Amino acid sequence: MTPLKNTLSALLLLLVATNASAQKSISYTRQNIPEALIVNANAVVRLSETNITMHSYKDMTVKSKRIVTILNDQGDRYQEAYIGYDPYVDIEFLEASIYDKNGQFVKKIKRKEFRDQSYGDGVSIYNDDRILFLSYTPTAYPYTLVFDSEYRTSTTAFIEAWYPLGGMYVSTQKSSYSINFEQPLPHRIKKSNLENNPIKDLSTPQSVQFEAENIAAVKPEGFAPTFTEMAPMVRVALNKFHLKGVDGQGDTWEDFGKWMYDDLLMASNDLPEASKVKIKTLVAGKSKMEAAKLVYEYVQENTRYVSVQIGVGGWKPMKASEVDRLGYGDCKALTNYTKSLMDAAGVASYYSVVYAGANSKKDIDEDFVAMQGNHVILAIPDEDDKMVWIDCTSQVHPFGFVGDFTDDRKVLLVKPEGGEIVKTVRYDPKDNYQKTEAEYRLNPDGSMTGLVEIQTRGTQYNDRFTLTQRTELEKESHYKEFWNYLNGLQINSIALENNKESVVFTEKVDVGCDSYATNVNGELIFCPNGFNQITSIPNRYRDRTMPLKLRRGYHDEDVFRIHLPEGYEIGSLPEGVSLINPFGKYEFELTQNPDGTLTYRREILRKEGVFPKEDYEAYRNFMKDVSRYDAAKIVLKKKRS
Amino acid sequence: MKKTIIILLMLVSVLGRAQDVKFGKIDAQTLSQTQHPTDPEAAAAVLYREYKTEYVYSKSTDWFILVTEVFERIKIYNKNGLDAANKLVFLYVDNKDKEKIGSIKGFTYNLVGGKEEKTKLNDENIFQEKVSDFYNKASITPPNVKEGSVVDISYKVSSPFLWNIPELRFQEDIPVDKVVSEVVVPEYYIFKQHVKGMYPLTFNEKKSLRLVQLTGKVSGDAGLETGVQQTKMVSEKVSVNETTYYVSGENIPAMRDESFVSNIDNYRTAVRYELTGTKFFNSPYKMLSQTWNDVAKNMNEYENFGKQLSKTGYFKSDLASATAGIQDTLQKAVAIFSHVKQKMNWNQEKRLYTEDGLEKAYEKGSGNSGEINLILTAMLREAGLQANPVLVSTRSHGIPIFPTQQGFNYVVVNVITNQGSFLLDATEKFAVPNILPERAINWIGYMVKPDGTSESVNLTPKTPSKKVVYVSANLSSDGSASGKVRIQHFDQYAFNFRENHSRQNREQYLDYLENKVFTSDIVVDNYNLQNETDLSKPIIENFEFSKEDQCEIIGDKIYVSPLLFSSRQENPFKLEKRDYPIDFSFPAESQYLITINIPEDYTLESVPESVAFELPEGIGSYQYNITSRGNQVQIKLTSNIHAPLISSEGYVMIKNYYEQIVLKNKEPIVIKKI
Repeated sequence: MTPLKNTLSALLLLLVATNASAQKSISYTRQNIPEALIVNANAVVRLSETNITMHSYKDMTVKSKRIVTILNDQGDRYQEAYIGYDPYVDIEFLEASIYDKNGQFVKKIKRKEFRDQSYGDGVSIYNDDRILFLSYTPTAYPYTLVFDSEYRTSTTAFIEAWYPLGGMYVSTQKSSYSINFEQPLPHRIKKSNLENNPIKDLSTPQSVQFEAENIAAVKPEGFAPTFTEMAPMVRVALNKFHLKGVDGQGDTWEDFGKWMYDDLLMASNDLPEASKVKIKTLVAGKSKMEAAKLVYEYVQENTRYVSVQIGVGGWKPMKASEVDRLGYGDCKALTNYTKSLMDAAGVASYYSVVYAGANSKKDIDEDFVAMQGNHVILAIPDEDDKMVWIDCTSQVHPFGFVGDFTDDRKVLLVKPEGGEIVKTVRYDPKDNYQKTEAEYRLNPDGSMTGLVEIQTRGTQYNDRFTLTQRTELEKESHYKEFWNYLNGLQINSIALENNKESVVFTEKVDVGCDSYATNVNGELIFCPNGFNQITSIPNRYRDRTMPLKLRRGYHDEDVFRIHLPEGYEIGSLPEGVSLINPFGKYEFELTQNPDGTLTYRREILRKEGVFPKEDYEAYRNFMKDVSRYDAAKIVLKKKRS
Repeated sequence: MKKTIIILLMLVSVLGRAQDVKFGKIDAQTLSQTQHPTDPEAAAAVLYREYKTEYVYSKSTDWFILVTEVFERIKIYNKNGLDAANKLVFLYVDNKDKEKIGSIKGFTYNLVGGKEEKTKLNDENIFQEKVSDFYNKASITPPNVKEGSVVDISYKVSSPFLWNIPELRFQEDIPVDKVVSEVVVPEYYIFKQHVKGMYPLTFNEKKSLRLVQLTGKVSGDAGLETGVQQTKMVSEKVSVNETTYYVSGENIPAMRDESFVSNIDNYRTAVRYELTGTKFFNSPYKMLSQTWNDVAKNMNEYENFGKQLSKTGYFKSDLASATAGIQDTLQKAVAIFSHVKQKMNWNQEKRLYTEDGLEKAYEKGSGNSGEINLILTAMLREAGLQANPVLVSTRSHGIPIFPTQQGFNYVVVNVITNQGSFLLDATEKFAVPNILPERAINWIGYMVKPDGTSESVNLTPKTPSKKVVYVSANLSSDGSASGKVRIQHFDQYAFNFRENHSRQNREQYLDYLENKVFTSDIVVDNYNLQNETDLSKPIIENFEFSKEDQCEIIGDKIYVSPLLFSSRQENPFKLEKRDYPIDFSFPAESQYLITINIPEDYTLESVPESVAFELPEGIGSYQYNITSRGNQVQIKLTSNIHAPLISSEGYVMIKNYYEQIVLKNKEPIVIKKI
């Protein structure tokens, strides 16, 4: 190296060094996090600022700053340095910086170092949503990430909501949210779960403004409301808005539904004449509900679910004529197509927007008129104007049965004259019914052979009826897991019957077990409840913080007839029991029949509902009792000859 | 006689031809088929698939491009099979070079009122998107697919990656009736065929000559010397020797995934082509990888692998301070290992090569698996130790079937010390010598030595990983139990424990312990954890427990499970048969030492018998010893699996073995009120 070059590189080094120190430090250190925010936290949001500027009903800028201190590797997922985008979004700015636990600058990450990826929703074949995200590998914990972003979009149908608490195991030191209107734009604000949280509403007629400070982290608990059911949240929607190139409006559900009908659905209702004729022929002479059922079955036979989401197509169904030609579509397309067919058959039906999911019955928020939901089903008013619900994406569900995917929740019914919020079908605990009847024979060597018949209805039907489509191996596997407490279980034969008319599923299973009873000193010990034991007990929490939520009830009845082995007699029988409490009831009894057989009868009714957190332990004790009684044993002695 | 045979043969082959599947034409029988002839439960089947791969001379690039034509015919038997009609094609991208799909054609055939109805695939059924910087995706969704449909799809993929002939797949999760393939390779490329899977395929080969019109610019080599480029247009006909490889397979059953399988793809019937050499015009034959030694040699020469190992400047001072005063080679290796673990942070990427070089990664303090373990190798070497990178394919990546660097995606390190050789992986903070993360325990790795030779390294640990559970319990006459538990986790178990739990807060872990480890209703108190950070020692958990319904009270007797809450109560192998080997990842041994004190006013009526049973060939064994004295029962149980990979033929044996274990574990002690 020449001396000149040396000087140069020394200069360069100097420059770099000055530049680095110019990044300076930040005042956010691990030290100055309040202790209360560390409890249960893997990350602490030090500052979250979202400032939205509404330039017009079809032009908004969203500027955000997020400073988060990540305490450990479980907290890495709260880096949350990303922007989702589509062709209607311009990303104006994106930058992240990393600081160490003392607030010293570590490095800066520029936009080009963010990864650009398609944002898969998990079901779509194609989707034009994309995401730019940072995946930073920390070199030490804790560290602090500062993320600044700004984007501008014409889609105002979804205005970023404010979640002052970002999830489980993360706390918030300070969070603020504002919307400034450059021109007056009529809008609505929905506040959820703000009470009991340190939140200030500083909104003025011209602006929306909220602030929160020091919200402690929460940890998940079983049998509790979901995070979104409990989390504080503020949402805002414009009365007149824009959605991927389409204007929209509605400050009441009626108007909003009208807009959806006129602007998103009408144009897609273009069933070709030939298909109309075909459907008319198909349903000729049938009653209204018979016709509706035929149409649904026609859709199930002739289409399949394929999800393709492009532009406003993410919200607007593909045309009925296209579905007719292609034989596939997503939930919107298939529902709209079915609706068009129903129209042709002379049956009124309504496109209905819903939040689908078996794990939480999430309502369309009635108080907040805005784009909501993640799925679409179809409602058909019957002769008494009661709604019958169908899910057009299912090739297998019986007509009028939607199971636990969309049951018992508020949905938006889109009628030609406007929208309306109604509730979908509720399956009462008594409707979610299972009856198990078995007859089994115990042999002197401890082995057992038996026949079990299970009938299910309601959501329990929903859990089972797809068994018919499984392979023999999968069925075998199902029963062996279902009765996993039976060691060495053999499945000899399986007969299944799906009665779609009455929505009843029947399983007949021929079973055997080499070692059903345990031989202890010449006595045989066995559990009379061979085929419907509850073996799991809800988790124990040292300090339960959330209410108890029992989502969906059920009702089981069991009758097992037991043939005892030759040469044995009853040594000891468990005593029957009957428990009743606010969560339901449980009872079992054993009776000796004149012919020497035993009959085991069991019934459990589990109700649904929300109970204060203090009740959790009582519920847990109930289930503990149930699992203990379910495992109660009979002792058989050798007969004295 | 001979003549007849020949004629017969000819007839057969003619008939065979006549049954050939033609794109766009279908016979009534196929269409009306309602279930698969040999697998009646199949939801769909590949009736026919045809691959044709060839090197096509492209005028625009002056060179070949690799074109693969695929045609397949799918039959849908029932609604579960509808998705089999959708075809997803992943297209690789490497900076400006990318694979492209074209000539997508297709038909859907349905039987409507006894008549064939044919629907054409259109552009609207085709979607292409950029998935990430590394690949694009084409999705083809044929129209009008329903139960009974037959779908024909054909497309062409053109690829600039001439060395990478796509894998020919002969097996899917639905049955495959027939696959024929043809791979035509010009003399410039020398490939070797490799087969995997357990179903027989038919192979043929043909040599031929082809005339290729080469046109384009040719640069004169004077350019380098004078700075003046000389180019001229050439156009000539060149005759090229070609080799055509034919592979076909028939009636290959569906693959169904099973538990305890490391990667189902390892067993898929498929053919891969390995580029072993090139021979271009007027150049000598250049051998690429052909033996593991060749792979090692190539790896040594790669700028982003072997060449990186010689740079040492960036870590010199760190190395000096990490090893200051240490003479013993083992201690030195451990010190360097600890330094790299502490300094480097794994970015979760399983890679072989460095991205921006080791120095940059070292500076950043983070990197992929290759970067971290190459830094470790370089430092160990610089410290005078004999250390070599070991090429590994992770479990999710499958087992490499031929000597090629493409078969690997991960690097660990082999180091030789005065105490013997050790495997090291510095991607995980809690790793210790000879304990690899489970992802890297996959069959065999290949060492890349400085002299360009290779040596295979068994990645599966030889000694079993141990877990020891001590329980001391007092029973009460109300059926409850309480007492103390001590659990020691060694080796792989200690590593896994630290990885999974040591960063969890204590309460979170206790919830997990009570509810997920023990599942039965146990209350854990006074929990204490030892050696969380001292990696040289086992993890030790100490706690007190209480459990309400530990025993079953029947009449005046109490039935107690001698292993209390701590043992296997369910057979992990429930199905009657199995297709693929059982993979337990690593050899393991667990021991339970349990002391039970029965209530004062009770007497022991019976205890289960002591037993021992074992699997043949030392695969595994189970010993159950029980002794009693006065009001105390002591149980010692040892259970181990020494051979972590067991063939599917051994399945029934393993299933029965576990069944026996579960039965034994459940046998009760009976005590009676005095």
